[in-house]
Amino acid sequence: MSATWSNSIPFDSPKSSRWLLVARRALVPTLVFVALLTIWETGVRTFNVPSFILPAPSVIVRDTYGVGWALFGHAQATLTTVVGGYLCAILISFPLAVAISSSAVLSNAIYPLLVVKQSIPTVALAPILTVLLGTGSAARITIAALIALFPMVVSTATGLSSAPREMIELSRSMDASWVRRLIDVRLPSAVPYIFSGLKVSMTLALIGAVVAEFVAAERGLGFMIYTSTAFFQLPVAFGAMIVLGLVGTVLFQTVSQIERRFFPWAIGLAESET
Amino acid sequence: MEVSDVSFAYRNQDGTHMLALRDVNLTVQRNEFVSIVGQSGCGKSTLLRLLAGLMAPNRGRITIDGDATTHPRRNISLAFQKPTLLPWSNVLDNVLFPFRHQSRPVGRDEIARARELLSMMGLLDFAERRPGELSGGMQQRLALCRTLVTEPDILLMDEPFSALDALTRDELGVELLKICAVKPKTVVLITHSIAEAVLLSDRVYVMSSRPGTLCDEVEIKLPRPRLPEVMRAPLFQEFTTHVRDLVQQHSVRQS
Ligand SMILES: Nc1ncnc2c1ncn2[C@@H]1O[C@H](COP(=O)(O)OP(=O)(O)OP(=O)(O)O)[C@@H](O)[C@H]1O
Ligand SMILES: [Mg+2]
Repeated sequence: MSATWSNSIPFDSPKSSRWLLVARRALVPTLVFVALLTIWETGVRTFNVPSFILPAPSVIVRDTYGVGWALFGHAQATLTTVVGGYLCAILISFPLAVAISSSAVLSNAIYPLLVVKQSIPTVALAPILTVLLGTGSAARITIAALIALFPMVVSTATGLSSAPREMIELSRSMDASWVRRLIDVRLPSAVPYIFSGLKVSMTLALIGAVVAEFVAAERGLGFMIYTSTAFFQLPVAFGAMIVLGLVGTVLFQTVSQIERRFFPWAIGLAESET
Repeated sequence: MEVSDVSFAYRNQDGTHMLALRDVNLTVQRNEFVSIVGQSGCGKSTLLRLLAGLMAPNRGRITIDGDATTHPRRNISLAFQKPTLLPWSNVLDNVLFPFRHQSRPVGRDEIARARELLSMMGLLDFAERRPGELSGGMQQRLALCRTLVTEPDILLMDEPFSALDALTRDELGVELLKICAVKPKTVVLITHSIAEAVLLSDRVYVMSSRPGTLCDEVEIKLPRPRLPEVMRAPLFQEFTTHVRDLVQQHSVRQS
């Protein structure tokens, strides 16, 4: 009764002022950004800094534009490596996390290996993997996947064991099977943890992809940065870097938006239950 | 249901043991309504966990229908002291959770029963909401719906009405009695309200403190069906005073 009643209360819709608010919030960062660009541009011009040391923004835009459609090809190659490696990491990390969180023996077997793997810098691992797997996309995807794996496994395993004790007891009191307990109780409780792992991993996968492209690739933004610096085309390298930053931001926001959209209840769950 | 000479100790983090229950004896007849009252921290929840088969006693035996309880059973429903709801499911799905969780089909009958319980608890308007949007007392009523939906033979309830106001509490208690009258159940109820224990039970057990043991037993010889009006009867007052005296007698003074 009270539920229908409250629906009839006319709330002031904040929609009209929302855009104004967004615009106002974006104003200061935009101004700062424009100011920095202006200082950069005038600084480079007045002191005549050569463009192979520090190119001016206008030169960066011009030269990067000059690359043409090939830029999209490079961006797409990097995107494929990142997303491919990321999805592989998700597929591998889940069973590992389930194994770790459900058995002390398996946890003792898997964790040290993961820690050792994570302690080896990807830069060191990349050339070796390239020898093993060749210079094709398999090697690049593997490198991206390997670096993204660790946070995913650790956070998912932590999340799977984070369900409150009463919740587990409730499930046990219902005499439910192990699999149902995993699906109905442990997994939903793990969602906030899984997403924090997914976000960290997304940025790591991007690093992995670029490192892999430094070592072995004939396309990709990492490759583009590597070759253009080798040929003193610093403006193009800068341009590639900016595109890389944009790709990274979009990927990260995608993960974050998926969480917001499909798991709104999970936001703040991890803190409220501890 | 029979509990004989049961003792139970918790193992603390530092490896020491904490004796929570000592030599507990309890017999509950089929379809009997039994309450347990006692000071906070005396071991009531512990006893209920043992009855539910969530833990095994260190000493003694618990049998239900002649079988030793070594694991949880599906004909027993346990209501926890905390509502313990699933924050990611809506209210109706929370009620239906036992069926889904036990991989049982959820058909029209089950949904109808769930809705009937929700309307009895005054929650039908909130069926599509999430538990986080309910008040503490509403969450507790929701948990009660979930406990009852599987129509268990044995109900184990740990302070199911503790977050409710006195009026709603009595009302729901009487509702519970009605449900038990339609389909008889064995009920073990833990409560801090002596009036509630007397109103609902056939027998009330008094538990003493640390280590907990059931030290007194009062048979409540009030006629059934019991309605809230019973609480005005002099005999009712007599019983509550008697139980209160016993509880006081077995409590440790806390300064
Ligand atoms: N998981 C646990 N580990 C260790 N000790 C525990 C645990 N749970 C309860 N205890 C101890 O066992 C004793 C009995 O606890 P229990 O929860 O059974 O009390 P209770 O009678 O239900 O109290 P209340 O009325 O406050 O709910 C307490 O002294 C408590 O410290
Ligand atoms: Mg308790």
